[in-house]
Amino acid sequence: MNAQLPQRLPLNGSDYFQLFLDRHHRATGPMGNVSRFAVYLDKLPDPSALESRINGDPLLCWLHSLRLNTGWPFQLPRWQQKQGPPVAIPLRLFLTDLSPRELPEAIWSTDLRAKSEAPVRFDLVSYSSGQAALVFSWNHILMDARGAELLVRQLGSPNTDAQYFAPPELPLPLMESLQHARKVKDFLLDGTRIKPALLTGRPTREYNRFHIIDFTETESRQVEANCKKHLARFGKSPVLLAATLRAYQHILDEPASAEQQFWVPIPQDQRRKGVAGPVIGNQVSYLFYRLRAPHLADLQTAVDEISAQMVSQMRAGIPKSYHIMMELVRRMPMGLYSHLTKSPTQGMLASLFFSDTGHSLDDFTDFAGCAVTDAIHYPPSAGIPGFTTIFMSVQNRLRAVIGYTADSAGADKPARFERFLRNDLLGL
Amino acid sequence: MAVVIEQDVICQKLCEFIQANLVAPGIGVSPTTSLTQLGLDSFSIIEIVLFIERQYGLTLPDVALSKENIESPQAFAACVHHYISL
Repeated sequence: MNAQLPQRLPLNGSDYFQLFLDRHHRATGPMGNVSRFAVYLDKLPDPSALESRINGDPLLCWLHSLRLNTGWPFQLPRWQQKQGPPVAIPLRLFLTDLSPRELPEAIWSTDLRAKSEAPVRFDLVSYSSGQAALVFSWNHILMDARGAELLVRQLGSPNTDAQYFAPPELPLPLMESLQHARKVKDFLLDGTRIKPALLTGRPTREYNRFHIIDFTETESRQVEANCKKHLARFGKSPVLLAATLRAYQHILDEPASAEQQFWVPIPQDQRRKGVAGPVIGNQVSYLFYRLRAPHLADLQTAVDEISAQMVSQMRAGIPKSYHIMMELVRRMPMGLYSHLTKSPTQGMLASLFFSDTGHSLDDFTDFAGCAVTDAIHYPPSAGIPGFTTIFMSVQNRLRAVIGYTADSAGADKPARFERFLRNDLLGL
Repeated sequence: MAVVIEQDVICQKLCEFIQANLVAPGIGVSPTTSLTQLGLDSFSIIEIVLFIERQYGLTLPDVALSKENIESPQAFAACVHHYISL
């Protein structure tokens, strides 16, 4: 066992929020907060060599030995190493006739229960075409998507000098933390009740379906150019969010009413730049966008509104205060935490979930001697709100992955969403 | 009498701010460091813009935040200096 890897690891505030989402997903969907990162390869790597490589990685062995211990109320929940002899990390191999990119049903239906099962899992898919996919599944309580990327890339290229853990934070005085929490509460409630515009408000037990919107390299450059045209002074993300919300509005069964809002929390990566890490632990805080139907009348209006809200929240220090609040409330019993977190939106949480992983996969071209042909993040199944969009750029090609349920966006809605989104992003 | 702020001074302040607030300890930031290669994202650019606002009372217009102007602390400083001098 590597001496640097602890026997216990307390959840940080952002991890505890993911634990809350794990329970929310279990209550409204088919399984917990399980994300997947699939790396598509030009050929099948030797399964036994890959299994040895996985089991020879001290960090992966340590992660595989962890179980979640939520402890007593007001005690910090923590990851704890399972007692007993080490258990080898299995690598499930699937031989399939599915078309390359599709994944076997058994991968989608595998839950990872943090208290009783390892929070990480590897599956290898061998397609009859000769191509392959390595699928890393993890419980989101353990790490965020950026951490998962770093972990998998380190497995493929062990020379990567990744930093495993975030440095410890100095605790703030209680009164100061409470002031930050008060600021967040005032901002979130803002004197008005949040009534999110939604595709569905009904819990569903279905697994996610996925609709993938690919942009060619030329189209990706066209999107960049269109973003500049729309004076996206702070990069592409506000334009991606604006186009997503406009496309979402387009597929609503009924137009959003005057009191409804497009309410979207956006993760902000809090990692210091210039190093690969931290890998373990969720390292995000949040910004919250609140748009009404008139803000989505055209793309420029939507981008302007989002940019204005972004600057206003950064100026007010909302992400920092939300981070401090999450650290403060992580000792709170989950029932109370859940009540407080859900109450502003009456349990709906958001109109949709959205994230943009940026350009972190543009240079991901090889894994353990195989050429990487593609890499895709698949979001957890979220019964409510039932619609998640993740943008990523892989080898300079932009992509949006839509995770949805039939109840939220069945029939032709994903195709209509795609048409609208593509038109906006390509400036057609 | 108007106070003249040298471009080099602005650049030095920007390097110090980025080093202290946005990059990991041990990562050096020089006037010519590529901010894109450091991995600075949209939120980091806003942090820098808000720093300029606080430091110099200057709100940069949209057109100032071109890819070229935010490529390095030196380019950013030249842009800030230009708008301060107007």
